[in-house]
Amino acid sequence: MSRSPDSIRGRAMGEVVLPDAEDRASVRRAAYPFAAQGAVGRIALRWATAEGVLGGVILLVFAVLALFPGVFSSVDGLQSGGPAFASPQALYPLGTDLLGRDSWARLVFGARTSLAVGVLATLIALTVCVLIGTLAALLGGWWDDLLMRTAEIADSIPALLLALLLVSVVGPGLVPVALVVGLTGWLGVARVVRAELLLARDLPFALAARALGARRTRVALTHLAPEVLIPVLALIPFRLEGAIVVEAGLSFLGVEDARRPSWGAMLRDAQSMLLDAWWLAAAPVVSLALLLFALGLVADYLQQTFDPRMR
Amino acid sequence: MWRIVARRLVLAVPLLIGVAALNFAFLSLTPGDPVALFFGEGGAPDLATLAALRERLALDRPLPERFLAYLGELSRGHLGQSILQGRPVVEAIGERLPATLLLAATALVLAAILGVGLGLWLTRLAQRSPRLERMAFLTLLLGGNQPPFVAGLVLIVIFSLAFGVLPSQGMTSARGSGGALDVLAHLALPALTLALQPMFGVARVTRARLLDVWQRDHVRTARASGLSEWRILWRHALRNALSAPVTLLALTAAHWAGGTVLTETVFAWPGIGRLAVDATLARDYPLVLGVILTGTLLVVVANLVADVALARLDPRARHG
Amino acid sequence: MAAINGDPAHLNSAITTAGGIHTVAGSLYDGLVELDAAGRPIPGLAERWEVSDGGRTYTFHLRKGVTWHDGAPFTARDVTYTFSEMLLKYSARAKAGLEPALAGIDAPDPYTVVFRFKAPYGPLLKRLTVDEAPILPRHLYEGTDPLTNPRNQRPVGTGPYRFVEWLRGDRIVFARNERYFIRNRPRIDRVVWRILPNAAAAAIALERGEVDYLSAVEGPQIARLRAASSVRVGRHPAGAGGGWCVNTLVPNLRRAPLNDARVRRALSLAIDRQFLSSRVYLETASAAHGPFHTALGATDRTPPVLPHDPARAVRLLQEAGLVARDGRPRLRLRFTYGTPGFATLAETLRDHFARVGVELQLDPMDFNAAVEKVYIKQDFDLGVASYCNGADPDIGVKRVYDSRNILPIPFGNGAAYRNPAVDSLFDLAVTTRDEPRRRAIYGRVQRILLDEMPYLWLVESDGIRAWRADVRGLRIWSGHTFDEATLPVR
Repeated sequence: MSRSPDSIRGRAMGEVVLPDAEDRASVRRAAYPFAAQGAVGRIALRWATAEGVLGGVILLVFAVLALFPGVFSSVDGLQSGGPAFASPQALYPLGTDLLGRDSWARLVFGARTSLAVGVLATLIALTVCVLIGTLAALLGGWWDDLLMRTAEIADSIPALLLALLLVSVVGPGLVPVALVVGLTGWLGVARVVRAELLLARDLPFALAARALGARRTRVALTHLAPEVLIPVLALIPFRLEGAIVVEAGLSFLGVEDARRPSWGAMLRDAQSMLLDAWWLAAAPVVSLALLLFALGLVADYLQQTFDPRMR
Repeated sequence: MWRIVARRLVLAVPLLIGVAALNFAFLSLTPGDPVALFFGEGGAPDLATLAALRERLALDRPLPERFLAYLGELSRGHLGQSILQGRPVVEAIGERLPATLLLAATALVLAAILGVGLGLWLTRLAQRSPRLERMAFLTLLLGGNQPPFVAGLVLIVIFSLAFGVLPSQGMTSARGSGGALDVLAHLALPALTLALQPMFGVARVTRARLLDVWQRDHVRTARASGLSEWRILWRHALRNALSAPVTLLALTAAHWAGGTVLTETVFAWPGIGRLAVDATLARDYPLVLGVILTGTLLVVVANLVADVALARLDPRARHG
Repeated sequence: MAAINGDPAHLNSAITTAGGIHTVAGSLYDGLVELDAAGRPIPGLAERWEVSDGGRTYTFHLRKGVTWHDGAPFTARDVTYTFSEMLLKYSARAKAGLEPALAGIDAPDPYTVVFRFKAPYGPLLKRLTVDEAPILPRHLYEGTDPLTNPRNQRPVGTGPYRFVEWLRGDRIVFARNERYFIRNRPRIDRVVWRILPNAAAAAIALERGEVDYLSAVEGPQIARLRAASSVRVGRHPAGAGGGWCVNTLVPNLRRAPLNDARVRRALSLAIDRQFLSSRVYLETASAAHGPFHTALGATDRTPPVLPHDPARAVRLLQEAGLVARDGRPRLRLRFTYGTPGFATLAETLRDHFARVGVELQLDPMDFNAAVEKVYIKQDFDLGVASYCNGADPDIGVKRVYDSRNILPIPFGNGAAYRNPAVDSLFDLAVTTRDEPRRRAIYGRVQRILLDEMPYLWLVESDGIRAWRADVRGLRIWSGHTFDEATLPVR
């Protein structure tokens, strides 16, 4: 039984910590679902560049759409007045909805909203997670308990309730939606951060640094930060895809930024007319799938390339 | 092991009080009024009636006083009276909880079996043809992650409308007996909808872990001794690989504890998620708090179950 | 085998105007009278009635031998109890219209009920249906708080169906009342109300025959259900618990520039109501003419649909001095509304208003918060409500315009409109029993309101229902939906 007291506490308190240093790599690999080892890994690596380029190109297309939607559509997807429920045709490449709004315009301008919500929410979630996870792991003891318990309490607030409250405080818009998406369902990531740090802390080089008299914060910044950042970065695609899907769920329940179109609002509108106007659903569904696909490819490529331990 | 279980259960008490306090404060800050829609869309009868109702519900008392009174109720095991339904919150929740538990448990099992199966298949494929495996894996990525209210409706259109094989709404049929087979038929589509998202996650982590374990010594030894590959996968590798999917499923279960509202709405499933949304929209404070506390308790239990399961899977963790 | 879209909180329809509760509970109870499809009174619990004293006294002779579902006899004291302890206390429409006019309700013997009024009272009969005034059992409620009585969850009535069980969030089961006082009714043995919250999925369930009747169909589903040969779609302005709804924008007249009638007229002219009815509401509503739903036949003549004239709207705004430096109109208004119900409407109005230079800032929130903000806190520029009414213009319409109803209560006179002439005309109409004269009075009200535009009426909505083609005889305008319905054996 050569485990550190911290990992014992970690297990006792409900976080999943695999205690032995030997197991660290597999924890990390579990956090990198795209990674593959051995022969598969070599094949993957050979392909990685091509796949990474493909993913990057798709992401770039979405980014350009989101940044310069006006270039791709002369209307902003809010004007009604076209024919209702037009199926895809020359004038309306993706058809129109019941108010006669151009689906293509809504998709392009919606990309801006959904990506903004996704990126903002992911930033919020990662900031909170890294902060709480790091503090819990580094301060340890009583603080660790307190922080993780508080996190559990905060995580218990239902998204809808949080949304109603934030909209009333911040006003309607992107920010409250992003806050809600960012502030719910992040407990798992905070645990990963904390667990990674607990493991990294007892690595030989960290122990050595401490034995040499380095201050705790210095050890944390120079030695431990990279250990934590890499697995956290690997979680970004999942947070991003989760954020966009949660945004869609919120708009289904009636919480949205009504001032601009979003993929979530398009999905909500489309679901009531799935059988009569399939094109309304097809546009956001396909876009979402493509975006997630590209995120997966890029994440995989980044890991294969930049994380030496994965080779 | 059991000391830890006991400790965790004791810690649940301050956790529940904290959850109650935070959500109590949040509910009070959220705009909206429990009496606004109490008398229907025709409006309220008059000011005096509204005031009397507010007084009866103690809404006119200061916040700390109301919270202490609520804690008092809690300590006696009561969750208070639902404003809207005019009956105990425990009753209201008790009626809806089994449906959500059934749905969530089925979806978890489905996600575990299909996800691990898919992960196994991918791993097996990887041994034969890494190239083919890579393509299969990337295709799965494309299938990805759609919101349940879209995925659910697509399943309804396929299985209920086009093929007519499965019912689309509710937990039992209106005319039928409501026997186990009937419930099972109604359960199929919502459980599948709910399972889709974690299923892909489980497949991904299982695959990653399996490919990792495959390189380890004891598996290599087993392979050298000429055992069939399926047998090795099953006997030696899978057991070691399972902790990752179990962790993932525990986190998923925790997220479902507050109800699975989108899936419940699409399939008219009489679960606790819709109760929570209805209660939130009506500002039925005691009922909302009751549902949240129930959810928190379920999260504690789900984590506990996951850890016990992990300890069983991984002998090294047993004494932890 | 019928479907509703949300789980009702309880089934005591005498203490609420919530449509979801009335839709289900209607079959459990009876009113003293009912209305036929054309709105004419027909006997209910009262088999006949007389009006005397120039319309000041109504005497109802109750049916004998009627029993509650638990076997207790029904008497006049049930009627007096329900009115004094439930309807006149908690039902907003009964309280607002009936209480000020009423001198007393007496039960001289077990089978006679007498309503005495301070002045002649016209619309009483239309206030006594199961949708406006269901009668509940005194012997189970007396001495308790009607708002929390457990019987609200396991109701007992005299109606054509009796309560069997309630699986929360899933279904409510009724069985035929074998002792119903009208022979051979109802014909269907069981009514199962299923709670189907998603409109698209509910429509598929009807097509597949998982349910036989949808009590509410949303716009996007109509075309598809119409095309299905196994399904019939019907519409009616009335419905369980009321109807004749007019979707209305509520301007806050306490604030400038909305206190200027020219500005309100300009906003009204900016709205393309035909577009609203054909697109936003699909077929569920038609363009509004004014404060009264046309189907009520309340007024002596029906004005044309409110015109859409953006150019005139711009001129009116300029007249009102709301111009920017370049001479174009400039006005910014905050629109407070409940989601998801009014979301599409809000996005369309923003578009319409933008074309006349008015910027509509959308402030979506959930329905409850929107009601609180507009009616209780009164902190808004523009709000929106669907004002629904009873079968007579006195039941519901008056509360919206009555200056005595400018109070922090939901769905009252939210705009804070004050016009003594309108108040006294509404009062006069109630005491007038001669129908043509009443219509003339309401006609004058309508002309004043159309001129001053204290509210912006958008569309008149109808209830759309759908059912399997082999179900016949549904009364879709009433809470007694299944009284005469038949269903072939499948």
